[in-house]
Amino acid sequence: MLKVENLVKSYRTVHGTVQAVKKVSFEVGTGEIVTLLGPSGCGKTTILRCVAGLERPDSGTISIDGEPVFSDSARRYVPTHARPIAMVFQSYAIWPHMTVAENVAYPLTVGRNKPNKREIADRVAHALELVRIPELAQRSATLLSGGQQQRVAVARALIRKAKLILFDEPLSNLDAKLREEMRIEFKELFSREAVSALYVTHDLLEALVLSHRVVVMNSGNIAQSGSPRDVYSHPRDEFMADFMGAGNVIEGKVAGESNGFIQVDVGFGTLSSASNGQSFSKGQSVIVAIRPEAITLSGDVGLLSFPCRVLTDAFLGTGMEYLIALQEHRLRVRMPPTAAAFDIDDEAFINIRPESCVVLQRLN
Amino acid sequence: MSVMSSQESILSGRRISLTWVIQAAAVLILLYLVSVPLFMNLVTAFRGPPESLPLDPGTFFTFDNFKSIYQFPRVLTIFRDTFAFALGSVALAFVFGFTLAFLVERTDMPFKTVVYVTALTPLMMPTIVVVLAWMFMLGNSGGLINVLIRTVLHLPGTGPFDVFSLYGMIIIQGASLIPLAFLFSSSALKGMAPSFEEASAASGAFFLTTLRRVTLPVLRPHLLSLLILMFILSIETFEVPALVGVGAQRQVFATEIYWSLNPSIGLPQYGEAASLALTFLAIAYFLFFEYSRQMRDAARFATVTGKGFRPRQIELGRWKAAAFAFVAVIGLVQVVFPIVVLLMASFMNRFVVPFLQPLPPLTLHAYRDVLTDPRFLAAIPNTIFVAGTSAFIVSTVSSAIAWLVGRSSFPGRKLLDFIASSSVTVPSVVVAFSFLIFYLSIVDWLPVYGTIWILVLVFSYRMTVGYRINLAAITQLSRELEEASEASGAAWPTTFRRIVIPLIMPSFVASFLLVFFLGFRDATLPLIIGSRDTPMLTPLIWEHIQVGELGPAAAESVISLIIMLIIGTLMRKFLFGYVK
Amino acid sequence: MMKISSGHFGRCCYLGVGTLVALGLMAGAAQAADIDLGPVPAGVDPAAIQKLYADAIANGEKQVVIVSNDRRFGPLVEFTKRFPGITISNDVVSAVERVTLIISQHRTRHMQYDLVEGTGGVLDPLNQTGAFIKTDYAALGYPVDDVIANLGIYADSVQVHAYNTNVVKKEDLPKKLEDFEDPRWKGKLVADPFSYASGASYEGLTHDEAYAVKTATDIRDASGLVLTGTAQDLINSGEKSFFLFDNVTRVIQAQKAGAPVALLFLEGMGVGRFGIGMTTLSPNPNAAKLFIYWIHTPEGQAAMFEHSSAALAKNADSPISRLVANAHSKFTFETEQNWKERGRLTGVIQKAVTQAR
Repeated sequence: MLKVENLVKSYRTVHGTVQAVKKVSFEVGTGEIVTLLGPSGCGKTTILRCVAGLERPDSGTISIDGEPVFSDSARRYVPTHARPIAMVFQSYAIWPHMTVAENVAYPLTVGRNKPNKREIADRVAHALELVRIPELAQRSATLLSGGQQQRVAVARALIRKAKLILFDEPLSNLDAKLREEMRIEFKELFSREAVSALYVTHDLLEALVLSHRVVVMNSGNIAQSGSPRDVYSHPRDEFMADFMGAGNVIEGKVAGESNGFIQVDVGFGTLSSASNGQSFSKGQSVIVAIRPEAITLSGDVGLLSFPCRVLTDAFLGTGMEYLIALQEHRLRVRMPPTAAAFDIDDEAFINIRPESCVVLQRLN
Repeated sequence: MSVMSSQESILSGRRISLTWVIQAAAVLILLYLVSVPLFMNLVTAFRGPPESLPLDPGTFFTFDNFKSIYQFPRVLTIFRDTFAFALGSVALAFVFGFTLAFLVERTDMPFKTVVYVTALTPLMMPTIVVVLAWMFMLGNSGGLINVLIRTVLHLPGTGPFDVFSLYGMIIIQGASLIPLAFLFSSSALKGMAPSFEEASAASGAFFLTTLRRVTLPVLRPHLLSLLILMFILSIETFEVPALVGVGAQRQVFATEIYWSLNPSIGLPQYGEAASLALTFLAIAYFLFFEYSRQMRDAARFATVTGKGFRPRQIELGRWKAAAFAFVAVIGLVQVVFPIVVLLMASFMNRFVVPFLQPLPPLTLHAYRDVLTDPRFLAAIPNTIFVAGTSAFIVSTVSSAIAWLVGRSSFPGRKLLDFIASSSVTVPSVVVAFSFLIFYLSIVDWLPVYGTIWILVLVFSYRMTVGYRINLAAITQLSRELEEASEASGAAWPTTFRRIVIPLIMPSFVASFLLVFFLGFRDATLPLIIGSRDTPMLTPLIWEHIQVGELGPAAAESVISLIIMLIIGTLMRKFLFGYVK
Repeated sequence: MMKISSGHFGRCCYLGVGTLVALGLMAGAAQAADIDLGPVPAGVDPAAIQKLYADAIANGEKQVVIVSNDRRFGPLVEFTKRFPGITISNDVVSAVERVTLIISQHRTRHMQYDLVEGTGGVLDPLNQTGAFIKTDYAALGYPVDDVIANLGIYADSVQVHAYNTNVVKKEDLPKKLEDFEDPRWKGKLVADPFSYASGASYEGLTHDEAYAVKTATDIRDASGLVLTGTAQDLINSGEKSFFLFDNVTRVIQAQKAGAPVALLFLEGMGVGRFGIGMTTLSPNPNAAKLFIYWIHTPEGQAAMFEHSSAALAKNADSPISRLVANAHSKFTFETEQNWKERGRLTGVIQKAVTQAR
């Protein structure tokens, strides 16, 4: 559906030229939801805007449904309004001078082949049904809550039956509870309507829940792409680990390998860790990523445990999170609610499960 | 973005898009309307000798005009007085105009129509009448306010206030700028999402703190533009310095121009006037350049974002009385008293200061004379037509130019910005004489001289005010609102018509109103450019005042004021109709 | 050759019929009969006037177009009665605009006006640039004294101090100009910035420049004299007590309108002189000359006084000239010899009195 090849986009600023996107290629298949995930400034929004035609890339090609919409070699650039897309904006961009129905109907009234009034009314009603706000049709756009505006924006994107829908951080302006609701609703809507979408977000959970495939961006490059499960459990490097919420990162040197586990010397001892399919040489500088839930805190010393001190505790509802001190390291530990509780300044021991640790190459 | 796309269509050899045609047309109209006087002003400033017109045979390039004007230490006095006068007027107009706008847009104050009338009526009265009203209020012997104060405090003699003073000039000029400040501020407030203010209020800020820390900074593009514009208008304005400033023995640039153009013997010194005007141009250029430098990161100031905005209204509560008193004082001074003066003068054939002398009998003579004068009856539709058509041209062209400068990557936009911003700096006489020579020279090809169309064309020259209002409004508009339209499949002209225009409508209407009323009140241009076949209102009023016939002048002012009020009320519907 | 005004010309372009109309008129009016001229002043050849009228009619000159600062020209129906078929059209435009207008029209050769009204000082640039044609005023009945700077003098501006009778007692009236420096008038004096300097310039002619400048600035400094274009409204309304160097015509008009103002003549006042000049490219030259002739005849002068209380003070009998004669003051008249010096003095005084204190 969407094919982006060798996309390059740079900006001129007062400080010189900044390359926002560096030779990025990826695809979105028909009926597929692909998320561009990354911290702010990673180039994900720039890519989306290039696909929309709101920015003009320096080089590369973009084609939608087999039609090239941008190609520097063929000197081709199709303006935004002529591309078979729809877009949901971060600010919703609901026009304040129109009613909800007028906002939603707009895409139908500006194109080449305008449907008749009846059909427009039917399709507006249908689109509002889809986003579950049929009763708001005649309301002024200025009198909507955030969530309602969000729904209007989505309805406006759906009504055009575009080949590809672009989402620019659509949920970032909503509060946590509403965001959770909308996430589920989006998922349902996407599968029901069989849309193809490119979805930009900086929210990991949103990306994991909504997409078939996640493309993680880091400073203009693709850091890793794959299924949500794959990217989450097998981060390729330090950046990915950090971004996927590994929680704890400890530096060390490879000491050896045994039973498929890599031994890493980390100063306070040796950690065993899963290999993640990559090979390491002895003495290589690596990092070990440990998820908070992979560490167990207990009052008794064990076979592979290390002494530590509890710094802070926090009740999360679904469990307890502690920050502990282990020599110069600070580690986050998450325990189920059923486990024994610790107080601040308690001396304790931690045990790290090797299968939940990942050894990664150090960047640069 | 769409500019890119249109350029692309040309590159790729497809049809020239409508977008491109519209933009090119706006640029050409702007250049046509503004560059003639701008060019002529430049030439005039550097040509000599003073006995000749700038393009006569035998004239030469010279700095003499500058030498005779910029003499030390005199020029320092002029700078000092000009800046004191302009800064004082701007500060006064801003405080009052913004407060009025804030009361209308952001509070639950009742009778908002009264505020509108209070703020806008002064625009509809001839300046000379307003100045006279102030003289009768602040005149040091019989001025109403002075008499009141003296009576209450049992003071002998004259004073305490004297209208012929620097503060007198500041009060009159400041008061005359309040409508501009009000229109600018209210269109800015209308476009600003109240969430900014709500966020501040939620942070525990008192509403004055919110005003200072949030509202004013967020509206910076609008308000800075307003302040600069008012400043330039104040240094350029002619009526107050000439009628009050000379009496106060204050020298400002405008009075220097006045003397240069009115020598006791010989030709008006156009060169000196033009070289003085170059100072305005330099100041204006510097200020607007600074402005665009500060506004480089304009996206930060986008306040119409398409995220919901429900206009929130501050409940005045106990402050309601104070707000009312504030509006009442302004209304009394700005509206009631000038109108009383006007009415008295129109029914008495002249005005006498009450308390000092017996009142003369009332008569309808003035109205009878005026209403049977065919020139006056023709002047009203003429004036409405000329002011209205030119205001429409100005607001349309200036909004298109503002879009080009504020949004597109059009290569010449810096130059466009400069040209559109500089029309305000050329003195009316230089404008009039440039156009006169221009249209007389091309009368065989474009026979507009002697018709009403020359007035329309010349009045449309006043781009700056409209341009600055619309530019500020477009800066305020979030790009995503336009992008959402493009992503919905709308090409640029559709986006402009269905999204941009409705969203900048308050500013569009504000610019239309201002240019309309400014045109309505203008005296110099119709005097020089007009002809017997096309009588205009202000020259008629001016003609009566010249020979001391305050009565007919007042009657004409009253009638035109009524017409203006009707037009203003109709326009107000557009202003109010923005937020559904 | 037929001359048409630029106004006509514009309409020709639109309608294309103006030429035909003009041609028709020419043919029809070719043999105009002599008309009644009324009493013709000595030194004027009635036949020459008859010829001017016949030529005007033959030429299709249906109006005289004047640009002036004087609305009195507008309603002069007496002229049309005397010379049927020729009306007066008058645009009232202030000095800068008038000169600007005429020079621009002259340069681009699209002259709309036949006659321009004003003072020698203001209008002389039009002579310098060739916009005015040399006119034989003597043949039209003007004495030598009534020609200044190629202008035919048709009216005088007699200077006078005006005071508001509601706020000034007769016994307090100053006896000489310096009396206005008396502290009792502090804050009560007003003047027009142009006429004040112009009035004081006659002191310069009778005494010398230094004296005139000193007197003008002393009065200003002692009294806090206010200079403003709205002086007449301030004096009529009683806000100020005296309007220094006002002019007689205006005061009489104000009295007629019921304003409580009166005249005060002091020694050494001046009489400025207003004239009309004919443009080189005048579209209606014969009619224009007829008007120049007529406005100086007793009939024209009487009509002027009827409409405006103004008339030639020096050479014609009128209530104003009698007023001047009975004022027991010696007036200095503006003349062909002194108008330039007077203009120069006015400039010097103006600069002195408008400088900041």
